[in-house]
Amino acid sequence: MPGEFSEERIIEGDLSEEEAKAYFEELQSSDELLCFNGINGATGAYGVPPMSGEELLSVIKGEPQPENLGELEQKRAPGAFPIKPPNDATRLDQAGWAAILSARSDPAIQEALGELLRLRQEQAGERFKIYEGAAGYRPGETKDEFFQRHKVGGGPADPEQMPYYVLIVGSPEEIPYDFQYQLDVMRGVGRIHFDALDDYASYARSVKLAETGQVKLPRRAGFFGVANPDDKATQLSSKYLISPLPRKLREQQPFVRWVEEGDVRRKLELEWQFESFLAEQATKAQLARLIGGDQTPALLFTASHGMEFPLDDPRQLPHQGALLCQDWPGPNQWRGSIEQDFYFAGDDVASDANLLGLIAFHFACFGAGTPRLDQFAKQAHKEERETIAPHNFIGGLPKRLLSRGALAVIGHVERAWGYSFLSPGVGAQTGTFESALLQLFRGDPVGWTTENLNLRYADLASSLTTILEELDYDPDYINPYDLAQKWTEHNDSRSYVVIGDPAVRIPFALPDETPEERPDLGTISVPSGVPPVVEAQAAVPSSEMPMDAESFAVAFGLREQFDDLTGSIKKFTDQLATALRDAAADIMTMEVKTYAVDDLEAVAQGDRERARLRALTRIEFDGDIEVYVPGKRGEVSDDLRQMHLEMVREAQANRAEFLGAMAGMATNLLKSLK
Amino acid sequence: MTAYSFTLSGVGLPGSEDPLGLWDTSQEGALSFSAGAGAPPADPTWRVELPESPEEAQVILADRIRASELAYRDLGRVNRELTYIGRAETVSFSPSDPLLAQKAELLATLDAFQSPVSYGLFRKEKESEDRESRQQWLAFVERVQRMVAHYARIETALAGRDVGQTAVGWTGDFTTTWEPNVTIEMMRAHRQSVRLALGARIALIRIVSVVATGAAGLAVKAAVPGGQVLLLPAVWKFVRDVLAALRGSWPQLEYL
Repeated sequence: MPGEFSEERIIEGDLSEEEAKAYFEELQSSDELLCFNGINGATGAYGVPPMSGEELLSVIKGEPQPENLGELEQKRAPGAFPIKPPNDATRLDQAGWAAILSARSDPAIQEALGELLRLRQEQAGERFKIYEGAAGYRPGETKDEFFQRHKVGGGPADPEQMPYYVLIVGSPEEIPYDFQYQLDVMRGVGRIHFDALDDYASYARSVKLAETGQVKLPRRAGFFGVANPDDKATQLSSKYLISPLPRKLREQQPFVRWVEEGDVRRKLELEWQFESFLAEQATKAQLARLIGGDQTPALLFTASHGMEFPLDDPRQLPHQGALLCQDWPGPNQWRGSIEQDFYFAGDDVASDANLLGLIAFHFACFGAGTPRLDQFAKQAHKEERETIAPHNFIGGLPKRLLSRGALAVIGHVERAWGYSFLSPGVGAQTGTFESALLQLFRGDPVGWTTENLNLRYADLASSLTTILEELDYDPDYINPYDLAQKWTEHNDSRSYVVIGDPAVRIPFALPDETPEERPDLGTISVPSGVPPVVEAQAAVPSSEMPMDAESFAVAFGLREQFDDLTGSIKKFTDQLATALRDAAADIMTMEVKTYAVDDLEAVAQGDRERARLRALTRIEFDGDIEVYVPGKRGEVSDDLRQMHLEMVREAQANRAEFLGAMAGMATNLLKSLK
Repeated sequence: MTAYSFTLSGVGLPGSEDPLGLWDTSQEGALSFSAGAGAPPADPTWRVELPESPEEAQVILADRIRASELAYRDLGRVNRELTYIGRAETVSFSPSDPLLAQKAELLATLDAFQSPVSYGLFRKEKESEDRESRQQWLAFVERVQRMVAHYARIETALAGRDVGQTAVGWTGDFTTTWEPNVTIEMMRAHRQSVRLALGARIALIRIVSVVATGAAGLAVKAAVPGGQVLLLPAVWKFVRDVLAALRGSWPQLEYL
């Protein structure tokens, strides 16, 4: 690396424009090799070979224009805000919360997530939605098509149309990563997908414990930065990212958080304790102490190589994205396949690990997941994108962390590039991480804190597009190393995703509270041992069936049974049809009324004369809500008013669920009659 | 012992048990399936009696909510078990499977339908068992039918004093009436009663769906014409028995 500019000045990003230009020219003249994140576990070689700035420039020129460039430009516009004012993104009752499931999702998953869904419904109230069944994500659908179907406009999130926080429930095969990226531009998005129903239930329980005041973690964060010998990529990330981050954050303490207590806003000043584990300290054994051991912090930030494995390698699905630790002696000392002793994977997390409340941030290739097709090939102008995995998947490590109590993992789907820490003139990416972490330390929802990364991506994607257009006319428009810096930073900020519910926050103890041990996770068991199922299919005629149902019943003396049973179903379905017809007019509105009465017994006997109507809410089918309360101020107590509103929420939730259950029952009974 | 109760009445079926094990139906009135044509039946009423102490009431309600969650989870498992049995080419069980007896019984019924004579579909003792299952299934359907055809009335009383009452219409309209000196804690207790009652109502509806889809799946497997109807009582019995068996493995709840 050119030595004319001190590391401190580069880290601080305080080179002048002229100095930065000279710096890049020096890199170019020395044909400095750029090293990227990611080690191939099968060969021990770099996932992407080191290359010069000129070589990378030819790759970058293949960069296609983002499909959603318009929306990205809208996002980076001065004064733009990702959520429609005056909604507060840190409040779920204003920002809203939704889950998107695949239209073909197994209903058992929703059941297993019951605790989480009920919690979010309570918190978000009317701005709680579940997109499932016919309203769920349909195969091949783009974000725009999904929005169109649900009458959601583009631009800043309007929680009345669609909540700001969106949890995608399903594998990236069912609901692709591209949909998640596109949605993430103007929403706080996260995803969960587990192999076992128990893990869904366990995750739901963890979030509930954390969000109901049952977890009060010490305000402690761990920074784990590997710097493998002879390995430029991790030496850069250790030096330019992990080392300065805690120092810069410490300088900004205390972090201020405002809490609302009734009508009073209280200012809290939060001090965090930061512990760094760098280079020789960043071993696998140390990481085990930070992930489930006695040093498990509230937030863990790691920077290391992520493991890559070739297609069809049996280690790919469980270990891709695992964190390569300091134990790896580096590319010169170690050749060939990388042993698991060198890296930390999901199956290294102890079976009794308690990670309750943890939020982890992994800077590593494939730290969050892996796409089926290689994104880099697309950028390198190759005709066909290489298949690098049998299917899109979430990494084994984040899934394991979430199943053991962690609330969220922020990481890359795809490669992390890493070169962008070296950012003379601006020091931008460290700043982006600082902002995101600062918000997490303040107690903001994780999906809101990653807005910093999204904003940076929007900014870089737009400017990169301009640069690439200029390069078509002027090959010297930008120094290749300067461009490499921008491009890698753009890539690094693009494919971050949240694995977990985007509305979770770090459940830390406030200054006037005493931190507590993590409560026991308990054993949450959703019965397993049966394959994932969808609802049983209705009976279909079989060629082996020798006769019709009635003839069969008659032939085997089952006529009476058959008639009884079909009669009962027919009576029920007829009644349902009548009720539905009668209710057709009523169903366009829903009314919630609150009365007060001196003699409840009399009302129970049918005498409503003495009951006084205190509040009435009428909800129209199109979503219009009318609320009526007595005109004179003070006639309805705050408690009664509050309870009325809670009853409105109960009514809304019940109606949707009741009608859904009724429709399901009617359909299934009618199928029996066929 | 703290006095509390969760009772369901007005569905007109004396002695019928709640398959979810959450609501006591033993205090059902004189109305019955056959007597329905006489006096108009009362609306199904879910009544929660709690002690006076709000703290104690809260603990009782929390236990009941936990029990409901477990029951709904179990219902999901029953659905999956049925789907698996209906789809698997052959079904093998581990001797340690806690549901071994229920699965074996269901498969025996399935075998009987597939080969009516050799499996003794027409044995006298089997005939009587089948009739009983059928009557119970018909009674359950009748009960759900009544439950969804009428208002749901939810009442909450603390120390014998009624504090809140909510009537829920077919299309989801809520009418809540409070007694004059009700406190916010009492109102919250009633809101939880409402949630419990309506949750249980929906779960009972889902049981009908689970039984119907389960019977349909098994009918395909057994290739029995009309099996989706004829198998309903056996599947209903399986669902009820499995739910009861799974309740045995619930964690200890003080107030259940």
